Amino acid sequence: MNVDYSSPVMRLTRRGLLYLALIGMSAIILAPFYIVLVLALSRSAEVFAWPPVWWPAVPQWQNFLEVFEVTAFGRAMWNTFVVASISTIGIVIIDGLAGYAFAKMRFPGRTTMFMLILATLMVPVHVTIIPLFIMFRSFPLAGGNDIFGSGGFGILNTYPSLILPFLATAYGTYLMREFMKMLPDNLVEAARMDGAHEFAIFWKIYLPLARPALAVIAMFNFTAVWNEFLVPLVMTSTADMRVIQTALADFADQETVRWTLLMAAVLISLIPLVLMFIVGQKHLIRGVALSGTKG
Amino acid sequence: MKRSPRPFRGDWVTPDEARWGLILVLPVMALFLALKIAPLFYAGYLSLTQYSLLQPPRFIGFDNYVRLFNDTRALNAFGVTLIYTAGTVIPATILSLSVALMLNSALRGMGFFRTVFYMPQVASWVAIGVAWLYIMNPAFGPFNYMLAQFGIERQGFLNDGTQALPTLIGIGIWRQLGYSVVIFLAGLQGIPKHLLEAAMMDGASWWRTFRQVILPVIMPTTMFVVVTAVIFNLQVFDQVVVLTGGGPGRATTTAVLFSYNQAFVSFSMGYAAAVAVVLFLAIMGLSLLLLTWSGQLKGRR
Repeated sequence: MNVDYSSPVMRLTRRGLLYLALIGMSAIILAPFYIVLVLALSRSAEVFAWPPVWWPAVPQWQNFLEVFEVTAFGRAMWNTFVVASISTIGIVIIDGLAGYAFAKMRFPGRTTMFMLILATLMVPVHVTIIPLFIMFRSFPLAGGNDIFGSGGFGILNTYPSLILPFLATAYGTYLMREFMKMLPDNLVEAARMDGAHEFAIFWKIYLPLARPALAVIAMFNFTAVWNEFLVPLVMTSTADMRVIQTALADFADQETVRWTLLMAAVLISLIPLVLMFIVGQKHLIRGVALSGTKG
Repeated sequence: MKRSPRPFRGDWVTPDEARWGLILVLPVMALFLALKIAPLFYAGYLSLTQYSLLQPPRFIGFDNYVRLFNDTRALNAFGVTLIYTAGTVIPATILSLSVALMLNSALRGMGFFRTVFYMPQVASWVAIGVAWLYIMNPAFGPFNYMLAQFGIERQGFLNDGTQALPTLIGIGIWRQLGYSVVIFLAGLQGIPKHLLEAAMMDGASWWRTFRQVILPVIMPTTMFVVVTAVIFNLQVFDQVVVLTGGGPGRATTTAVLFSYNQAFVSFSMGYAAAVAVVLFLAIMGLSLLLLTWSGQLKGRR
């Protein structure tokens, strides 16, 4: 579409219309985000103003502090941060190991095992959530349970119940294997001839090369856990175990919604993700560029 | 030292390599068995039982499935889910392909617009949900104010039995766009420039260029977008909980929400598992159907 043989006037009009349409649609996409920002800085009275306010008369920056004073949002943020970080670290280690082994090593059952993992891409969370709830509830010798897993609540309402459901993600394993496959084989061969230990080959040669792919997996997973709603909704029951998403839903659940504080909390919850998205875009491009030069 | 001419991709494997390969995949296999494969089979077993958490599961055969297909609430939930999915995926796919085509020819600012369209994907459904909850509020929401400027009276939107599902669909399309646009943009990079130039030189109309040059190349991308969107949207849950709670009445109660309510409100674990299994089979069936259908399309070309 670079080549255009129509007249310059036609081309300019067409281009103008194109940008007009794109800007119009961008406005629709961004409108809710703008409204979140306006409400987060509004006084309670301005929320119900008719016509709606375009911008608060006096921006109420203290709304952002009040979020932490009137609710346990700080605790929810900490919980979310812990769960997202630990699960991300876990996934990066597990997928790094498995991706390398599936791509570069030969061992009995390799194809079968990889296919099994790939097939679980088709298993949605909503099917496994009820069994996981029951399994976690009857986890032996935890949360008041006896050795047969009855009597108490097992590991429900704990960090492990929020972290474990995320550790088995076929997507990360698949992505890591694809990336490792693109790295050259002769490094393994050369290292083996030099008598390097199998684990050292992975740890010292391939893991550092795979950093861009690991960063992409880490980013995707952190965002997914940060935004997850169903798992914390099912697994936790007390206020001190709320994560950001369930805490936000709690705000909206009450009869009288405190819109200004709710939107301030939404904005706070978005900031880490938006920052990571901006940084991540660069990582994504670097990852692609690296595979391009090596490929 | 004489180097052996042994190729790397040979048949024989050192015991060390085989042993370490198994050790490295051990964690991942253990986790998948414990957290995906075992729960899947457990869900299948649970769906054949009556289980309220208080007493051990009681085996009742296919009773839960018989009950499901005679339960108007369950069938309604599946109907709502299908309408939501079709209503979201079809317009969102067409719209995002148009946006991607526009961005692809815009040259300048493509990165900026791509970021903008992707923004709703970065935010959680809960965050987005509460923003839309305010916008669509019947009493003071800005959307009703906008309609009032055109002389249209106040609408109930999410509080209205007939408008709630279409409103949810509209919001669903709004969010789906970003994901599909990004994938389509990647797919459009695969169109050979010389083909487009040839079409231009021949004076082919825009529609013919689209049908004969662009569409065949991006057909696999389109199928990928449609299949993944169908899989995601059939599991619609978060936005319903935040925006309508499944109401008014049962107007927006989807399959996953119905299953959730059966499990964690009514504590009918067995019945809830049966609903989840049926949805899982529907997702598998529909994906396979779409993939076969697209394969046939490709074969005919």
